[in-house]
Amino acid sequence: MAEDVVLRAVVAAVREVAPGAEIVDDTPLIAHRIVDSLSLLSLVSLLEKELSVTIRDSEILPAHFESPLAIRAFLRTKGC
Amino acid sequence: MAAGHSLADDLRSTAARHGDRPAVIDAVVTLTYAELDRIAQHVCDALRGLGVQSGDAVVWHGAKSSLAVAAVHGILRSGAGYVPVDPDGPPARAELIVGRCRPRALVADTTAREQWRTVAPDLRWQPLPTGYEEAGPLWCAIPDAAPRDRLANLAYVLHTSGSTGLPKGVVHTHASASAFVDWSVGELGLTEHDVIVNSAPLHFDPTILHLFGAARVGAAVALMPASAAPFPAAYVDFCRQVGGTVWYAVTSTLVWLTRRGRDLLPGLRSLRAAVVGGEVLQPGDVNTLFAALPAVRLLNVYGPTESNVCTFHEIRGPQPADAVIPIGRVLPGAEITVVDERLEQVEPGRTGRLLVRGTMLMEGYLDPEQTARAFVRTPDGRSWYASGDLVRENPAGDLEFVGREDAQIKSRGFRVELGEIERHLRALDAVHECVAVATPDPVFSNLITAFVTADRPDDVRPLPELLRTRLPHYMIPRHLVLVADGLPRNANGKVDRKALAELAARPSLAETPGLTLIR
Repeated sequence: MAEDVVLRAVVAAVREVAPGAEIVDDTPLIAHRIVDSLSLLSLVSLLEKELSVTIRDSEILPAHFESPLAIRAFLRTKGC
Repeated sequence: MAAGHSLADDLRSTAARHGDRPAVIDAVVTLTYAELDRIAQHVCDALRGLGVQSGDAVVWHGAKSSLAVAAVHGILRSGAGYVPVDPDGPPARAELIVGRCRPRALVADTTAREQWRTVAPDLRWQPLPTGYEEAGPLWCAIPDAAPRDRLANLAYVLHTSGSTGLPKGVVHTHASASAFVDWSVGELGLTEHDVIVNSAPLHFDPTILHLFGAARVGAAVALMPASAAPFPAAYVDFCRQVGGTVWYAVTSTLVWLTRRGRDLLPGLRSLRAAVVGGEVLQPGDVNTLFAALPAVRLLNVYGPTESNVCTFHEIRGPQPADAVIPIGRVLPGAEITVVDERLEQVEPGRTGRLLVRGTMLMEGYLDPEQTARAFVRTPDGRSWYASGDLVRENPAGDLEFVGREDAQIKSRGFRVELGEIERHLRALDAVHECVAVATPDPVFSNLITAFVTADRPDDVRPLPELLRTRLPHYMIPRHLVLVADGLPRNANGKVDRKALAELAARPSLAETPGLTLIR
């Protein structure tokens, strides 16, 4: 199976906004408090830039950001 | 309220008047005042059975929940003061805070207790009966270390960042806390019909208004789940679901809601009062809020943890784009003065240091040396808390915030001493020099960047992980930068912090020659 480049980009973006945290595909970003209000908004901006996608305010929801895999699944609904 | 009023009295009298009304709403349950009162009594009885007495310090360490609020009330009812510790912070920092605080007892939920097992395996935990076991058990431990001397009238100790690297324990008495609660109740007209929205953690001072303003009048306090708080849509949804009427949060929360949740703001229509503080409020955010909620009362409040809120300004309607929103005028019971370097009062309109005294002011810090450094005596012989904030009085007689006289910053509403970050960077032997700087950010007030020098990049790879194990999340630098050729210096040979701050503000920081981002 081809490597999921979007998922790799998501993991890289999460690592960038949460320096020092160990991030793998299924790291619980909310439960482990890796994502807070600042890193979340930085992450949204970074994903928008890196993946040329627009994320609406109403789409910034816990279910979409639970883990890198959840972000990947959400981005798939946006055609990524 | 007369001197001698205790925060602990409010719950009992309110439960007698409003026993059936909702007291605490969390993501799972709603407790009535009768239930909250009963659980607090269980906690109180258990603590007294373990020897806790008036004036003792008792740590609360656990997730924010209805049970946590009951535990706090139970600690107060036992006569002790509560010391809330960040449940999401690194265990090493909790241990540092508790080690310096020397409490009589620790009360924790199961998750916090497990953390303590890693840093203090000798602590012996026993179940603490709450009569509310369905919410999960609470645990209590009595440290071996001798507890500190009892502090008369102790209500709570909140910890803030300290410039020397050690957190400062701010001691408030029932008198200073009650003075602030009295003002809140009166100014906001709180009643038993209000629902006060809480999104701050319990170790953060807005919760004093949330918890004890509610308990004073029989209002409900609605605890936003930590998992919802970072998401504008979930945040607004929670406020809407609980029917929040009063909201008090740090300014950056408002900014973040207006910038990434503008279309969601009408969902807050049940709000009648919004109170923000802790950071500079901009007209654009004020106007966005009023556009969505034209009838809301908006108060800009000012006051470090040490003084509680001591000035406020009510913003009446939309503001011109270039308006400076004042921090306003002094509260009844508080006194302020604006002075120059010789501690003499400056003329109105001139910038000076803001000094505070009065009924809302802290007793001091836990550490007497920190207390001695924080207070000054004006030429008339009176003692004042030196806030470190620079202010000036505008022509209307309202104070405006100008800046800081030291390296303390606000980031995401949290108070951060850059020196505390530098202390932990220096803890790695391979780090030769380090400087943390703040760059202004439109949403979060400031972003932190740290610059270090070392012989080899590999030597500093452990830094991000090391900081995560020692500092709370809001103090972790956004960027950690290794500088190849030494830190820039000014003509006096001192590290040029200004040049570093300018460097940190560059969008192309990562591509700048000689700099390596440490990840």
